[in-house]
Formats: sequence, structure tokens, C-alpha cells
Amino acid sequence: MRNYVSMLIRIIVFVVALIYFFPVLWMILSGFKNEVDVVNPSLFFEPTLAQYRLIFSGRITHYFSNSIIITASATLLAMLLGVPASYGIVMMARLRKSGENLFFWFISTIILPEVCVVIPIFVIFNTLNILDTHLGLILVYTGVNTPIVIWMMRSFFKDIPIELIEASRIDGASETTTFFKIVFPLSRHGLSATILLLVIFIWNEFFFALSLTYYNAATISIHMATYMTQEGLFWAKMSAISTLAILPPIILGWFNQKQLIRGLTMGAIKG
Amino acid sequence: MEREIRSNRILTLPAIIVVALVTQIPILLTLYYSMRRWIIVRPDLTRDFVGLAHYKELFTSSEFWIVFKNTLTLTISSLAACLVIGIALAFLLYRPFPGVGIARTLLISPFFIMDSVIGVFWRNVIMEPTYGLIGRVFKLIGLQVPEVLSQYPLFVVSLLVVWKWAPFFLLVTIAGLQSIPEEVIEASLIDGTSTLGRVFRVMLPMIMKYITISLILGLIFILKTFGLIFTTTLGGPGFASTNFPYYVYRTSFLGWNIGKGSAIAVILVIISLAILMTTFRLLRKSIVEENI
Repeated sequence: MRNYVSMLIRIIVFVVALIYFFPVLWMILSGFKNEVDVVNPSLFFEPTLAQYRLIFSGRITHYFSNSIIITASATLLAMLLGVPASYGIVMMARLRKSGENLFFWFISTIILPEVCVVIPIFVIFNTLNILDTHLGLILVYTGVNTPIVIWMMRSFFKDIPIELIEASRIDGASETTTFFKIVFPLSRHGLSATILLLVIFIWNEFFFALSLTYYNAATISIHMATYMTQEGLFWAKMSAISTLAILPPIILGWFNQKQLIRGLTMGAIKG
Repeated sequence: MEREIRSNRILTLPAIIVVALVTQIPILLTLYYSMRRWIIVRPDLTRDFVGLAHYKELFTSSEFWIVFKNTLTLTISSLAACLVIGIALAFLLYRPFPGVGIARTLLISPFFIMDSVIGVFWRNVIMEPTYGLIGRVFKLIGLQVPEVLSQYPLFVVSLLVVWKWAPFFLLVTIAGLQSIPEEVIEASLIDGTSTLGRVFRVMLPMIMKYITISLILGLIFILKTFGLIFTTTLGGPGFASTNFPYYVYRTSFLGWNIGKGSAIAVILVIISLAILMTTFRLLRKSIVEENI
């Protein structure tokens, strides 16, 4: 009896999971159809790579390369700023309370909605002539993601026993050597989890990209929005581009679920 | 010790400067803009100081209160649905059985998809009345095809928010359930507690911290919902599915009324800060306790 019940529950789980995933599956399948077949909701069709050929011969690669450049640069910069800051805060907090306060100041900036800062940024960028440039978007993404790095890395740095750091100092190692020889290797899981999270966030970001770019620096996330109107009838092409656009974050997410739990809760929970 | 504090402070300095430049100074400027009359498409009007006029105008307009209600409805209903779906699925998925990895992977996928893809795909391929999936299904069973986007705009947005965010609740709750020591569950089995009793009286209380964290982070992110509205209903019809973030965008980037848009943004800052203050102690407790 118990066996039948648990069997039934498992079947229900799979049915629910399939229904939940169905829109994604539908999108992937539609990308391999012709435009004529795509409105026909059949699971059986002759697959074609026509849409993908169309994509790679067209201007879509422009948006993908923008996304790659901006995501890579902003992730790198946010890490370069956030990791030392986070380490500094953890070390400071061991000695004095003000470290914690600084940390919570950083957290408070994560909580504020993007729309609360976008208007002045738009005005300033307009004056500086950096609207619709990689530089502008990279700068904004670096600024809003650095606090996330600080938040996440803090929980990993706090896990490192202070005795190890002190021992290294007693041995006469400089602060920099201590960081790169002791702290860095011990927190590499944290570093990779943080990079992973930033890549997903920045790749998918929509609001700033929409407000601060038009064409030159427009990311794939913004380009997808144009399919709601003028190009919205080319469902097969739209599905193929969508599949390519969601692939990087989905694959990163699939293979790093454990790290992501800790990452997504900003280190508040150890997955 | 002083020297050590100083050297650590230097490490934090670049981050402080960049973050302040990108987030803090703009907020002050937003506050400043909110007290000026500034409509970009009306260069004939001078940028006068108007004090709190924009705020007065907002608080007495009906659209502001519609937006207020929408934001509340969207946030609360989505959070509640995410919580129930996420926790229910987590209980079914936290123990290993053949294929559990695949089921979990399928379920969490929507969380990694960009808002614009979710929006345009659902809007077209699923909800389009003539050729969309819903249209086909309704015609097949001989029913009148609903114009979901114009008839139930806020529900559609909420549905997509839940589709995307329930996986987050699922992931965090699974982590919580897996952290419960096996002995605790065995003890309740020996005590002969019923399955429901075990779930509600033993397991749920033990994962409260995980649920709190997912609720707070869910609240922070769902309050910011923008892309899913922009790519589906465009906040319409009228103001029926406009929330605060979209209201700011609509006023300042579609209506080009910088002054009024800034005033809405300032109100949103105040709302966010209020939420921050009330959840702050909870957040601080769970972050600090976990790590020390």
C-alpha cells in the first residue's frame, strides 16, 4: 500500500514537472520548426535548422556579442571591487562594530528598486554622452552588483578560521600574500558561486538596458522585447533566438544547483 | 589594531565610491528632480521649483491609488502563491528517488529565463487568441476564446511572476528540508506522529528560517517587477496592470515628465525603506546568526 502511494506521488511529481516545464520545451521545439508549422500545435514535425541559419547570418549576433561583452566586463569589475571590500569588511567587523554597519549599508542598496535611480543616471549619461554605450551599461551593472558580491562573499570569508590568517601573519607573510595564499584558495567555491550568480543576473537584466540603450549597446534581453510587436509574428524565429538567449543562464543554473542555493540567498543559507 | 582597521578600510573604499556614485547620488538627485517642473517634451516650460506639488497631484489622482492597489495585489498574491507552490513541491522532491534530479531540474528552469523572453513567449505563442495555445485549446472544446491579456491583465502578470519565482522558493525550501537531521524525522516516526502532523508540527517549524529568507528576498525582487509587465500588458489596459516601477517608467520615459516620475520614484524609495525596516531585524538575525 505504502509503495503504491509513493509510486503515485512520484508520477504526480513528474507530471507536474513536465507541465511546469512545458512552455520552455515548447519554445525549444518551435525553434526547430518552419514558420508555417509553428502555429500548428503538433509535437510531430520535420525539424529544420532554418531559423538558426537565419539568426547566424543576421544582425542578431550584434545583440549577443553586446550581451557577452557587457556581462563579462561588469562581472569582472564587480568582483574586483566587491571581493576586497567584502574581505575588508569581514576583517574590520572582527575588530569593530562599524564593519557590520558598512555591510548593511551595502545591503540596503540592493533592496532599492532600479527605477529609483534610473532618471538621474539617464540625465547624467545624456550629458556625458555615454547613453547607448557599453561603458555606460557596464558602469551601472558594476555599481548595482558590487553589493551582491559583498553580501555573498562575506559568508564565505567568515567561514575561514581566523587562526589560519593569524598563523600566516606570524610566519611573516604580507597581507597580500595571506590573501592570495590562504584566503583565496579557501573561498574559491564562494568565488565561483558569486560569478555564476552575477552572470545570470546581468545576462538577464532588462530594466537598465531598456532605459539606457537603443541599438549600439542593446543586449539580447532588450532585443527580445521587440518581438512583442513588429516581429511578433515570426514565432519560429523568435523561439530560436529565445532558446539561444536562455541557454547560458539555464545551463549554468542546471549544473550548479547546490552552489546557487547559497548564492541566491546571498549566503544567508548554506546549501 | 588601528593600522589594521585602516588597511582594511582602504580595501572597501573603491567599492563604496562606485556604489555611492551609481546608487546613492542618483537617489538624492531623484529627490531634487521630484520638486521641479520638468517635462522634456515641453521645453517651453521653465524648470521651476514646485515644492511638493507633484506629490499633492499624485496623492489626489485616482491612477496613483490604482497603481498602489495593483502593486499590493501583485506582490501579495504572487508571494502567497510562490510560497504555497514552492513548499508543496519541495516536500515532494527533497528525498532522493530515481529521476528526482530531472524533475527538480525541469521545475527550476523558469527561474533562469530572462523576463523579456518569458513575456514575449507567453504573450504570443501561448496567449495569442487566434493561433496561440490557449486559443487552440478553447476552440477545440468549443468555448469562447478569452482575450486573457486585456481581460485579466494583472492575473497574467502575477501568473508569470509565480512561474518564474516559485522555483526560487522551491530551491530554498529543499535546502531547508535537507538540513533537518535524519534523527528528528526518525524520532517522530517512532512516536507514531501522522504524516500531516510531522509536516506541520515537526518539519515546517524547523525550516522557518529558510522560509523567512525566501519570503524577504522574494518580496524584494517581486516588488521590482518590471520586465514581465513591459513585455506582456504594457501596464494596460489603462492602468489595470501598472505597478510602481512600471508607473515610474511610464511617466518619465513614455510621458517624459521627469518631475512627476521622480516623485513616484521617491515614494517607491520610501515604501522600500519601510519594508526594509520591518524585515531588517529578521534579515539581520538570519544573516548574522548563520555566519557566526
